[in-house]
Amino acid sequence: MIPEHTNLKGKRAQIIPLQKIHLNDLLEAGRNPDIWEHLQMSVSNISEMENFINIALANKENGTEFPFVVIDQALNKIVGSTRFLDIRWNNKGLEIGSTWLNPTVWASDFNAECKYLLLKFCFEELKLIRIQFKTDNLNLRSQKAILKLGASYEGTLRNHMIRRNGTFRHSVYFSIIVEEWAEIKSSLEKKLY
Amino acid sequence: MKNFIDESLINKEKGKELPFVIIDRSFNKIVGFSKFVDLNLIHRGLEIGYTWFTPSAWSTGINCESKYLLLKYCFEGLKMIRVQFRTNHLNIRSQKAILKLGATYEGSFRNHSIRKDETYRDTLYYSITIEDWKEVKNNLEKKLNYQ
Repeated sequence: MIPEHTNLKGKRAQIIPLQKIHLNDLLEAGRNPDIWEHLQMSVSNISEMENFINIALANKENGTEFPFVVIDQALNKIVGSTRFLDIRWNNKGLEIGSTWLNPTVWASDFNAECKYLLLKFCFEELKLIRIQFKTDNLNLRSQKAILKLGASYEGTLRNHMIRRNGTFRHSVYFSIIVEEWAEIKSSLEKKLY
Repeated sequence: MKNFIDESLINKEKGKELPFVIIDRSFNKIVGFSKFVDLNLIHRGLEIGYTWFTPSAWSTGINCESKYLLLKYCFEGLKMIRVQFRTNHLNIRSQKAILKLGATYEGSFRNHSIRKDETYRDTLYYSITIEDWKEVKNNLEKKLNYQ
């Protein structure tokens, strides 16, 4: 299980469990429609953000997800959210996803550092054997970012979801397995530190 | 077996699964089992799995026909856009059977499950999409001598 006091701290990024009290800060961080372009959800006002948090916490309650907020330590501000989903303790696997970040931290190593902190936690603390990423087949930026982390492409599940505009989305799947972690860790550390 | 049935029916209750028994009409006897899992009505997808048959029903074509009936129900009755099949990398018989249905291999998820003996297994993913269905249906009907 994942402790409530989990606090993943990097050079600039910090990741802590999502709580209801983060509502206003998250709303502030999410105020930019560019953030939501490729995501399944879109949050633009306080009731939508409340809904986002309530669903995330309900999924945490039933054990399938574990949501976090992401803090930029340089500004001491919440800049987005990420989560573990599809948590399968029996098979020691989970997916990192539903990540969104304020554009102030885009085009930097910020997200890469978040992923590094989460991966390290998954493999070294939670002793998992597989970490999965998935994205929309049209979201080329995300696919590139996932490959740059060192993850391997595994396949594309066709008609896997229906986008908000009604078109069918293929989901592109990637993973990092425990056998790869030492090498990926060292190349991420070289890049980041 | 009571446990098996209870568990299936609890998952049915939750809306996550839909279990079926398969009857051989020539003997009017239950010979197997299959279920819909991972039912997702929002994204209109599901997986057909956990299928098993009593050995007397093996190599009789009854598996192929039951898959045909389930697929037809998925695409034409339930209006699904994706039907998924999965198996592990060591189960060659199942991999062959899934391909023979006309499903498309989509990828292997590494370290996806842990066996009782602690070894890791890869899961192979296959699907039939709504766009594939017409051709898959046609081929299955030919194979089953419906045409």
